[in-house]
Amino acid sequence: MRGMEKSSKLPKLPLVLTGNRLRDGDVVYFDGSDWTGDLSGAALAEDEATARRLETIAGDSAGVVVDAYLVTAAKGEDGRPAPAHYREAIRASGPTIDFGETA
Amino acid sequence: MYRYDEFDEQIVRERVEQFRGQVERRLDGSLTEDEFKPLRLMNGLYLQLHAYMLRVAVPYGTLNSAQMRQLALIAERYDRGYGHFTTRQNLQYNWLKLVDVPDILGLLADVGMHAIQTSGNCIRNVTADHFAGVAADEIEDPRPTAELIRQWSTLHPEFEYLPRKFKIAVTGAEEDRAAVSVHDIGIRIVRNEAGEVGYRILVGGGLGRTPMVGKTVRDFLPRVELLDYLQAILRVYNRHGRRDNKYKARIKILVHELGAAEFTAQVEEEYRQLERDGIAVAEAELARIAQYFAPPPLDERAEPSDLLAKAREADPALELFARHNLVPHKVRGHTALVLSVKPIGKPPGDATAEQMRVLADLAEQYSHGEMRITHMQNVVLPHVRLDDVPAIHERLLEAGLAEPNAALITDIIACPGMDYCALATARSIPIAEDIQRVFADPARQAEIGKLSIKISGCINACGHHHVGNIGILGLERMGRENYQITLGGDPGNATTLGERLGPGIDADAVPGAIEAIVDTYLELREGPEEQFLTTLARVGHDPFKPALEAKKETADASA
Repeated sequence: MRGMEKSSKLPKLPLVLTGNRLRDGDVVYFDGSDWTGDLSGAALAEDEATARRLETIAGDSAGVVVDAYLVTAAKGEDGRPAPAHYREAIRASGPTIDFGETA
Repeated sequence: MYRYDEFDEQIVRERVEQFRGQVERRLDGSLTEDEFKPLRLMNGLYLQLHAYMLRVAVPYGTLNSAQMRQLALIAERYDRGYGHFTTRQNLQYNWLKLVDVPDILGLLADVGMHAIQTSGNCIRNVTADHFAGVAADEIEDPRPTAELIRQWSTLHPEFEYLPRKFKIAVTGAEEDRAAVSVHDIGIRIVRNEAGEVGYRILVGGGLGRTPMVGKTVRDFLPRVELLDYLQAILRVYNRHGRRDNKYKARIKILVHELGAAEFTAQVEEEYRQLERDGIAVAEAELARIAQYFAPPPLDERAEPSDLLAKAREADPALELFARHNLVPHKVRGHTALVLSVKPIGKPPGDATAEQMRVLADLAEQYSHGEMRITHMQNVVLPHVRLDDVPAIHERLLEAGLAEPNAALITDIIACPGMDYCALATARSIPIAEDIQRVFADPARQAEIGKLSIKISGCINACGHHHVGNIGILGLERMGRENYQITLGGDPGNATTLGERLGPGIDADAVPGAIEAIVDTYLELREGPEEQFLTTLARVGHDPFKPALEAKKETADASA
């Protein structure tokens, strides 16, 4: 588990908890009670205590989600989480290119 | 073509069932991810950004129509209708679900295919010249040698846990089209003064974080000694290769740190002490393997083909295609046809299930059922009658596979980059597509001539950027994608690693910078015959630097 020890330094706040679902590899985010495929529905941890609670979830979810990790997110104008880095933007929205039949 | 024997069949089938059990145990919680990950990697299964990715082995890049159709079926049934040909002559699926993978491996096994040793710290799928058995400059078809190594290295108990992955490439031709100098072991089939065929062995080449050109450790190795000698090399590496640091674990670092002379001495000493354990290659066994690669019955025909010549005159598109995508065949009246999987503005190396079926049909009808995957991410029909080229071209046009750009500037190698890959630091595919659009005009491409662009989305260099005439490396700088450009790389006989032209630039500045570099080359070359590397060697990097700087300023100003 990447940086999930209690004492570990957290990435910059605010944060979301994300990973890939074990069964199908889909990108998922923790929404407070379950995992969702939609970043804007993710629970946004804006303080350290909330982030630490998400960290516990990550540890407990290893049977469902692979390599769950906390990652810095932006807070959109609507208050919902949005990607803060291009890697997370691509994870959230898929490849930036046309592929398969649509290419 | 080689056909798996009953042992291969059994190994592959058992592996499928073994993996099915492992997946079940992972899903029911009996295995943790830490326990499961090495097991899935041994079966070529990665977890990428959006889904699981399966890397299917295409040994030495050769496959038949039935296999290609099965790849199409899997793409359609379990992926999103396409697959990706890689620089390792393999095929990757990008959108798989873990729960489906055992069934997919079963479908592959049905056509003698698998994903064993396409990942992990073992001897990987062996690659070879994609014009094997075709090229006029060939001493011998490299595939029997590659197949011998495949049989020896498959599930080799001593070499399943090497310090790091291990890649072997073989060429039997005078011109190295398999980039053997940038592999852990490169094998060149050569003839000695007595006229005997044997092997020149190079060790310690590689790209990635620390690019190195392989060193020759044996100028001429008698054929029967091959496997014993490889064993000696692997033993020295297995014993002394660094396991403390992943970035220093490849054999190239060991060769570099010991020095080629000391490394060679250690290999030779190991070789002398080796108890020959019965793996010396019996000529009869090599002959048995070689018969599977016997050339198909091709009738020598008049060359040039009148039929093709007339069709070329009548059809400018065919003329362009024939000029760039036909490669001379050793049998008169035939050609090896390069089918470019690089249509302008589309992901390099991606083929839809429908295109795969067209390739399979064309191979069956016109090329004795055989295809090759090239490390350039294209497909070759190796044994085509020149007379058949017009008919094939018609079908390729309909399938979107008739791009007349083989070995030209838009025939770009690009790794999947950050659009798919978990290791990437930047995207590769959109950069390739943008550059293709700049140079889309076939007349302009023809004027530029042969020029290779290779793009990697991270330092691991799957896109071979170090050996691109123009290399592009995507990195991250201050939260943005940033691209370094190198000039002068060459994967062939005179293997050369490109040198950086200057500071990295933004993504949107890359196409313009490449255009400026190419314009500078066109200005400075002494004639259309002078290729990019010759001009570069003559004038050096300096004349190209202002072009890059200008583009950088433009990008800075618009940021």
